[in-house]
Amino acid sequence: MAKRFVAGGCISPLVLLFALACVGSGCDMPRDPVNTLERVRGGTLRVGIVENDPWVRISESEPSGVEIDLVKQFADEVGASRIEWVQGSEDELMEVLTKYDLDLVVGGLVQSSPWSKNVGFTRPYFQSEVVVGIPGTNHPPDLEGLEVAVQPPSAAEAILAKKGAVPVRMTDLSEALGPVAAPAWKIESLGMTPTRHDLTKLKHVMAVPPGENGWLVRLERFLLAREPHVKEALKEVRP
Amino acid sequence: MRTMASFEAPPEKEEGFRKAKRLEIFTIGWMLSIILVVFLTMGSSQAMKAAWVEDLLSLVPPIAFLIANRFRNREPDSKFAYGYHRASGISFLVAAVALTIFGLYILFDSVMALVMAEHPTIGLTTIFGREIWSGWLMIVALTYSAIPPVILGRMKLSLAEELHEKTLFTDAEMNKADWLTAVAGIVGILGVGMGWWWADSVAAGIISLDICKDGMTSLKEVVEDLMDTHPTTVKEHKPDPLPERVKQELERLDWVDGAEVRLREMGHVYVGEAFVAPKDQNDLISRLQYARELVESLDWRLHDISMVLVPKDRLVPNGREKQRESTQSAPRLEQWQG
Repeated sequence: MAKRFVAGGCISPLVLLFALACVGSGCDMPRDPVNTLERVRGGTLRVGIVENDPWVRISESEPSGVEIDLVKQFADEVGASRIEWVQGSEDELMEVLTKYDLDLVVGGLVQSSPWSKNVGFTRPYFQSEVVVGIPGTNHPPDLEGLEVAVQPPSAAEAILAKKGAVPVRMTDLSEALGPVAAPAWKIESLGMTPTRHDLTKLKHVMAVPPGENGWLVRLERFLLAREPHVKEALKEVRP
Repeated sequence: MRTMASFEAPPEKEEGFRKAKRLEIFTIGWMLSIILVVFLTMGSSQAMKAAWVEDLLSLVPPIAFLIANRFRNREPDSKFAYGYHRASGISFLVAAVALTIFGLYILFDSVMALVMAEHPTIGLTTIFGREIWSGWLMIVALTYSAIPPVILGRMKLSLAEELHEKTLFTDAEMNKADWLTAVAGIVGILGVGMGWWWADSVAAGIISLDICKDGMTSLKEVVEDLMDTHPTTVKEHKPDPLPERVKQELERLDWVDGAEVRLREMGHVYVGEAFVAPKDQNDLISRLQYARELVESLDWRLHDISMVLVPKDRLVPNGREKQRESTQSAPRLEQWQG
């Protein structure tokens, strides 16, 4: 086995570890294999955007939304001179991201996305519970047989059905008269009361090219500091 | 069916077995904590995954030892007339096969990661309310995983030799080499930190090679044991000179014209037959009884040796004697003893 190495080297593993740790702490780790952070500094930030209200809204002039604002602030922070927006479907944009032809993809992405294995996801920078909300304060004891409005597409629909509730599809939840299932922030902006019936959790992330760890860590630090602002921004979202 | 005599190790060896048992229980406890820590920090690092599998597999020899230790002193019965000494061999065979397959799997995985140029993504983590790069945490976990096994390995090594315990020895050797895995993993993570995406997969590949090597070594050893190889010493893995000594002791008896032995290892005991050609036929029963006691007093591992009376010309099976002298095997035996 390793006997030969030990006898030959005579290097105490601890000494070796220590030396390596010293070398490591001297430089700014982690770095990017493809130098994204360095290239964006003073250059163009190429952002893929997927339409997903209220995170990313696409209009004729400029994209807007909670995540668009975050990206703009981040571009300022890292000193990017301009932002190039590239609109597409999630699959198209992620594919391009794996080829390093985009620096960032946003659009209400959540951690459970199957792309998490092929691109770099940030840690969830914002979490929201999908709950059943009610117009008044008359809390239903259970969901059995309860009609609950959902805005498709939503994973809540299947979960509601499994729990015995009757999901009813609605394109605009603000028109709902009875209980609705939506993320907690949305329940609040609809002026409803969240109940204790939580259905699932949405962990919001952004995507960067795989392995660009310096770039990823920089973005994660930025997003963590912005978490309270995200909550504020969501409160201002018009229903 | 007549069962074998029950085996009792000398008191000082029994103490050794108790100590070995304690050490192995300790090992399992430590390894479980290491497995947990490495799992929690693993992330998407290939090297961490390899190190984790190696940690997981290093649970196998201690478990094999503890199982065998339970059966070690169980009395032979009419169903298992040769006793339960072989129990460890079976658990070890299973473990060695698993070890090798896992090693090959990780090797394949790492080579694929290199070929596909997969860049490992390692981001931030929060520890004690502070955000740090997860790579640092992985390095801490790997350092932790390196230290206890090395200490335990060294403690087990000398005990394994004293007790003629091959499971314990393999375990000790694996533990002792464990720090290499950790160092390879740390170098891999530091490499990723430097922006060398390939460092992680290369480290994982190196670790997997070590796992394969562990597996192959164990596989070879256990197959040899189950095939009743010539008894070997634990540490150097060389043919044990003990059978030759038994033969010489028997030949020194004044009524013995010639002697041969055929021994095999069963767990940590040696069993088998001693073939004796007497000069005359006087009082053979009590002479054989005496010879048997003499043989079994030579070493604590010699157990239930059958004494077989043969004419001088049949000491070696038909015609084999010529063959043996004409081939290399006789000088090899001499060389083994040196």
